Amino acid sequence: MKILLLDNYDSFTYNLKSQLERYSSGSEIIVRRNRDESVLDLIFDCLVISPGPMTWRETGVLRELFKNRIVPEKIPVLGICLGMQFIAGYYGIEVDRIVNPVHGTAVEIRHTGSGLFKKIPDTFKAARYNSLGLINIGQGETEKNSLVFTSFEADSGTVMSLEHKTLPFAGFQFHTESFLTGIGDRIIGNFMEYYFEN
Amino acid sequence: MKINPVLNTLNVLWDTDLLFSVTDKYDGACLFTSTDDQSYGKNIVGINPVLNFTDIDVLESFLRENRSASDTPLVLGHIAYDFKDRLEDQGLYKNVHERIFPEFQFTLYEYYMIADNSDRTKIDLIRMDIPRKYDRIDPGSIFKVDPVRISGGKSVYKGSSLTKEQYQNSVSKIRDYILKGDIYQANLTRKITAETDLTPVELAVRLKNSNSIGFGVFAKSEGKYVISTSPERFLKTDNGILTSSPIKGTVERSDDEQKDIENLDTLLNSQKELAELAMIVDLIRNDMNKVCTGVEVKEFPAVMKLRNVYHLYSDVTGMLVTNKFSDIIAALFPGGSITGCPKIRACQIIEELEGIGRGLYTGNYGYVSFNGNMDFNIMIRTLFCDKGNISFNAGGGITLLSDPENEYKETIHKAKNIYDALNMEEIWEERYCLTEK
Repeated sequence: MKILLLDNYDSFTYNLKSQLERYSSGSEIIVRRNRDESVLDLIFDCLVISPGPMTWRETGVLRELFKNRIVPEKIPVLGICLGMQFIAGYYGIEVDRIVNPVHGTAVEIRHTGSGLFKKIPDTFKAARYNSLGLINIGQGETEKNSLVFTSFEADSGTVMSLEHKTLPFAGFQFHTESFLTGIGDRIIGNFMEYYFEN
Repeated sequence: MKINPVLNTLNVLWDTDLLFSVTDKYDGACLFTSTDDQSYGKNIVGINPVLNFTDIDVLESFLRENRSASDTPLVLGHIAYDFKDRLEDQGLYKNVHERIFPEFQFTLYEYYMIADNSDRTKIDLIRMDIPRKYDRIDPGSIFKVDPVRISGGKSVYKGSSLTKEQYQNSVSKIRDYILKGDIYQANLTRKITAETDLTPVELAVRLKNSNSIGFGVFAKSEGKYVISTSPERFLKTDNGILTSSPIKGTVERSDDEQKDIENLDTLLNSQKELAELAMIVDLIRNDMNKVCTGVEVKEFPAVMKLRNVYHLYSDVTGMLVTNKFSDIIAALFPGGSITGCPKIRACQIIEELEGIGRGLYTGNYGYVSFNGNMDFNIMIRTLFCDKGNISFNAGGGITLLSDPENEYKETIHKAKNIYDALNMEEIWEERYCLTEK
């Protein structure tokens, strides 16, 4: 299997790469920066979108890649932080400044029982590094447009993960690759199992 | 050029001041540590420069050609912060450079001295068998140096690259960038200049005596001096194991034992400091994952106890998949603890707000051995001296929780050891910054 890991000029991309290597043995992981147009013609089986600075609209060729390749070819996508915000933004959900920015601290999160949280306790701790997030999501709202929200921050109710209703796309606002996220490896393992072994 | 080291152990009564004097006389570089803790390594001095390497690829070939089992240092040298531009895609950085010292310079010296703090009666002297065409010095004359002269000279404050108002505005701008989602943290610094009539050796001695120092440097090159009192290790390699030890978080020690414990307790429970350290640890893990497998965070947070401060830090280790110096530098340089996170965007913001290059400041000084092992510091708490002209930077990590006024005060506070060593009243700076437009 070939995984394209799209690097948004981030400083956590290689933590994600190392995590992917552990849960997709034998896979080839190709790291390319988001301004690299060669990714538009690359053949791959899975797209992983790294975290990164700035907004989901400032991600180089990602939008074009998503529109022309990912959606038509139904290529599985895993988005972390900015990667999740891209998926949300692409499907028309507002991404903007949130009331409680957190950087470098593990927060308490509750999930709603999606398969991607298999064998993970209902409440767990994971690292946040974000000032931006999904906004204008009503209290108790668990889906919007084509997306389903699968976990929320315990304190604020902010969306912490999402999945597409019909396409193989998943995103996490928290950082699976942080050393502060104990269940991070499990999430990546679940993602691989869910989209590639079923 | 193929070099063979020849080792002799000399019976010499020595102290660090003597090492500085020898370094000064023979245009050398002295990596010193003023603690007995073996994890910091030994004092290493190179004297009488033979060859300079200013190109990383040329150095790499030289290191490869001389690879052997010996753990003796082969070259000592530095990488300036501004060298980052050469390691990244064109156009990402604006090439803001400060050129007091070369951006990249490693030196092969004729002699190396290795002095262990646990035995002040002997020194290992290693002579490199360099060809006759190079100037050589007589080993018998090495320690015939004058003792350090105490002149009691003074220094005069000249200025700061950012005024108080500019520094505080820059802190606010970083907070805006954080809120916009550009970065999580950035390290902002300003450069302070002065004129002094103290000699460089005298300054080095005064600075050395101001604290316990893990990764100090006293080096002379073409009449210019580097004096570093760094507590921080950028990276070391030891037979295929890479370790990086980023520091974030500092608190003053107290003479009162109860207060000292309270201060440490406050530091260990500070959400701001722990979050800053966590994000740099994640960044360092990332950089190490480019050249290592099995990257691990050994202890989070670990406490470094120095004579006048406590620091929080972490040791991050991994097993190298390359033994090339240039690969390791390309993956980790510049050190995340002095840029911010994400690194590239943070460096761009630093360029914009600091406006001038950092030169050697926040770069690295260290050595590479014949066997490929290396050890480098992060050049913080460092002073540069060129014919009586002094410059040094002071700064700090800016997060969303930073207050502009406090951050400015913090830079003065952090520079206090240097002000004192320079015999310069710190109040001068406050007055200067308050009265200037």
